[in-house]
Amino acid sequence: MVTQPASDPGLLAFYAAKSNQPRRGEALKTGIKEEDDATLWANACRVMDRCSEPCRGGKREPAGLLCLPQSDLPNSFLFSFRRLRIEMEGEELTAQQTALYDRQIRVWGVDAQKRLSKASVLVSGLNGTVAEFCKNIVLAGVGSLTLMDDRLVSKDALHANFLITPDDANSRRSLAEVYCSSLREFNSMVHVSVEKGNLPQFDGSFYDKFDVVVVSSISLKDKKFINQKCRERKKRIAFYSVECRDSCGEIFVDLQNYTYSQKNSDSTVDCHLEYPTLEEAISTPWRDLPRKTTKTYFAMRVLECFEASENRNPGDTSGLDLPVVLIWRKKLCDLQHVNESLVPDGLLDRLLVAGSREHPPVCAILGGILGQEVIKAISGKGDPLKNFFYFDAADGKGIIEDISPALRS
Amino acid sequence: MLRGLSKISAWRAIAPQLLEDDIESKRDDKGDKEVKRDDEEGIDHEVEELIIDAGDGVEEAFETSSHVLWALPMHLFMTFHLYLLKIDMDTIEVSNLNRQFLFRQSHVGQSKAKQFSVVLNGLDNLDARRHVNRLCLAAEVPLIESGTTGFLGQVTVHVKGKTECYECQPKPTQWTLPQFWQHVKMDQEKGEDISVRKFEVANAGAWRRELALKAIPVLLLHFVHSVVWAKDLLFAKLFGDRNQDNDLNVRSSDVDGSKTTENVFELSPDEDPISYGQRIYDHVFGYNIELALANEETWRNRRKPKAIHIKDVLSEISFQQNGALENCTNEGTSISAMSTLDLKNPQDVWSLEDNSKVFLEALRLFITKREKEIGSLTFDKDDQLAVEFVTAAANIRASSFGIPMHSFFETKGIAGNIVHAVATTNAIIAGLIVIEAIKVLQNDFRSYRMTYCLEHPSKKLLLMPVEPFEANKSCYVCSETPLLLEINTQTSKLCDFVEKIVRNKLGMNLPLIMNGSNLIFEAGDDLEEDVAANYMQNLNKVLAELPSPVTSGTVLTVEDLQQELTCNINIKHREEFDEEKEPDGMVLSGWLERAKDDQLLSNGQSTLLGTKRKISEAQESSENLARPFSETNAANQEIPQQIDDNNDDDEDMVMLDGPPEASKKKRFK
Repeated sequence: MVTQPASDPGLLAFYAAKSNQPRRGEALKTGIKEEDDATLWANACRVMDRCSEPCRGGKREPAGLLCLPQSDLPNSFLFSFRRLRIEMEGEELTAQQTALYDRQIRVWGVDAQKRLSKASVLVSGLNGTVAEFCKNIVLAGVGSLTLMDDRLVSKDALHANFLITPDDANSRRSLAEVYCSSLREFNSMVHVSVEKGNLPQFDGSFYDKFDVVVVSSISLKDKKFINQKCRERKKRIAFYSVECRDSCGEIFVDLQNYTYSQKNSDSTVDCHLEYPTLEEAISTPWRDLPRKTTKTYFAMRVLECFEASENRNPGDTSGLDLPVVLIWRKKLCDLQHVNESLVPDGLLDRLLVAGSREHPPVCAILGGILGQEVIKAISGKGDPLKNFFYFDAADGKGIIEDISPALRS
Repeated sequence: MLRGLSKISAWRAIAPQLLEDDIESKRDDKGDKEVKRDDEEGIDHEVEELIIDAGDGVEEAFETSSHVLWALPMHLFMTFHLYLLKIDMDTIEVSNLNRQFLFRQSHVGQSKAKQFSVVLNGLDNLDARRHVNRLCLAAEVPLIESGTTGFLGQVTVHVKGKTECYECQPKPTQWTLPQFWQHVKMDQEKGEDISVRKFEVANAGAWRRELALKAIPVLLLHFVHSVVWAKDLLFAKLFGDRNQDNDLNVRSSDVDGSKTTENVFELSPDEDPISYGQRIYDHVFGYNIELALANEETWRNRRKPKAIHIKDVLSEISFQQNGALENCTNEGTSISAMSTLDLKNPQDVWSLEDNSKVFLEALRLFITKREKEIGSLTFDKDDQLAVEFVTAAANIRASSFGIPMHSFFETKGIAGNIVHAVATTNAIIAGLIVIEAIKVLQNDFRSYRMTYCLEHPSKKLLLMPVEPFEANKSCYVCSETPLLLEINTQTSKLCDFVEKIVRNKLGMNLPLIMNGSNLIFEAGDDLEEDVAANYMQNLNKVLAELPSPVTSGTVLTVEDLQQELTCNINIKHREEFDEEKEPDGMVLSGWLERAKDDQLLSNGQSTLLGTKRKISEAQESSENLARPFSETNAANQEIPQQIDDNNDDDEDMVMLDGPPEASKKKRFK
């Protein structure tokens, strides 16, 4: 019925997407019938073509799947069809992609852009920094982005977050839902979706859908747990965690065994990096670390111990906690055989007072660096950072720290 | 790049609290300038900011500023008036930045009132940056300057009396195209290769362009020459203003005698477009090259190009196919030779045959479909057909010279001076801008930092803050130090001085030149006729023969009222100039403390030509160490060296391991 050759990748994608349709009932209701393939195929292609129509006169209409209510095909089917089609046809970017990503292709090349458009990213724990990160990778043209955070939008979230409008603040919707609808507007070619639930409660196979997992605003225990889950999967899943406390920020990266190409003046060299897990990294004895290691690293570890001991949510702190935190500092420093001056009072106080508040320009910086790192990891191009990044607006430095147990030797 | 968003929805997404009801009602569209304003009256701290913003493409420019926009108000705990000046042009022209943006219109005689608390720049070219710098100095408004290319970026703070101004360190001079070809010609006569550096300076529409170029391998830089030839000479000759002096003659200077064949480019009324195309093809790729080859002296030390004729590339059958395409041309706005020839992937490098087909087809399409535009076309990177033609022509020429050919996509980037841009760098730079803006608004000048965003970390730093330099005491822009000009007053005309020194070097747009109390020149449209005529006469006079003669010892005062900049120039007569090292026939000095830097940077065009320094050597210059990522070297990953601060505990500053001079000027008062 469909006149396309059976080996046509578009058609294969079409059948694959159709068989992926979760509920037969929904499919039938909206017109997916066995005997109707030709019409359906034609319709699906029509919708796809409309998505990828070149923009006229350089002005881009907010066109895309979500903006095509005329289609009576289920969105889930269309998304699936499109993703599969990109995967199967795979090798070339569409004219629309080439036009949209022109400037960045000039930075990282076509291959990197292709890999990006096939990558899936999961983000759990949404805040201002993560909003920046999401915006960056959505603009960069990642294949899909899945958002997890069931917390309801509050007025507080407005503070450092451009994805939330004042209207949303009263909408009784979850953060993930609000982020999702805002982010979709940024780039209709990226599949942005919401996953309900709490990431640590998902089983391992859930992770297999993703190439990159980014977590924020969760406890150290959960971070370690999720990091471990990523490690246990067969495929390599890059793990990132990011925290912003006012004008201070920390990014952790675990790329497991990572090989990438490093471009020198005229040759390309393959480089290899071994990353520790978060648990391994922070178990590195403090005495083994170089004297110049940024103090924020130690301060964050003290705060983690404090929060864990008091069973607090990350960032649920105030200046009043300082006396208790100083006790924790002493405990830790004694344990690590280092002088307490390694973790200055002032810094701890700043971080405690900041709590979960984020300084918007610092969100932009952390989100920018994290976005860049994720793009590097997906594309396999450029030196990835290993394995901690710190920014503090107080001194303006953006520092990379390599904290690995291997340093012990 | 807020793709797929209308301006307003972008605002909504980015700056929610700016979009309280009143903002949209106050939005006011004035032609291509859009001024947005957020007013909340009656608040204690009133801060006003200006974001001047016009990058390569509006959306891109909008990116950085939009970050700034949402981050700023949320954190300042003050309300303020925010003006976003967005100019819908590819390149911002100085003429758009008139003083009204920085000065409130005030009554005559009344002292100027400053309108803004801080200016955040996101400009894309040197001229406009210099201009805004001067406006800011005059109005004593702090300036935060920024720029990005690829993964690199920088933010610098310029506050009068506190830090250096944007121009305290000289920027490379931009050459005009004729100047460039003149140098190429001189090089060729000497049998030397076209210097890469020279080209960069010549072609730099913006300093970022220069950076972008450097990231391209050397071979491609030679391809760049081919693109410039195709775009600025051939394309302009065929489709541009015919009356305008075209540099194809200059190009042909290595092809003696092509001037006599001027009418080759005329399309005779009864000629069909395909044969016309073949004739042009054979002329520029065949005949001209053969002529060049005839001069054996030229080619003694280098690879000879080979002449290419259409009959050698396309067989007769192909000709017919090509002719037959006449019938299947698509109509409408998207006229494209690539689509008629079914060349789909812009990333592909076409064969010589394909390039030749595109050349002929594009030329034919211009003649048949866009006839009316011929004679007035200027190259535009968004003009599909124009880029196709330039790609084909550049590739055929490259092939003739044995240079690798390039894809449509790559050629478009080169021809269109497309700046590499990624959202992540823009986000980081926007964040850094806001952090500095907050310090400036709080007058926390001890904390001001210049920050460099690096691609590869240097001493663990990916974001490197550097304490701002103090002002260069010899800076002619922010200090009143006179300059010294060595010039042959017996042979140089006033117009040479105005063009080469006042406009090119000093960057003045509306200059007024005085010798003592005698006005000898003034630019402007509103001059009385007789006055203007008088100035015209003066322009053509030799300096020593002006009504008030300019000779050794004369002090000229040059002023730009719009920029509120005045500069005194001591004139020193000199008979001889080295044609190679000092092609201007005049040397301006006194602007830099250190003579050796002067050689490399201050006098861009004269010294770059003379000193055959390699880029790697240039990198070692102390200037580059002292000014990490200054406009000349960012893409080379030149990064400043940190002094190992052994007492690390309280040392928050990055120390520069520069020469003593550099360190000395590091701290500011």
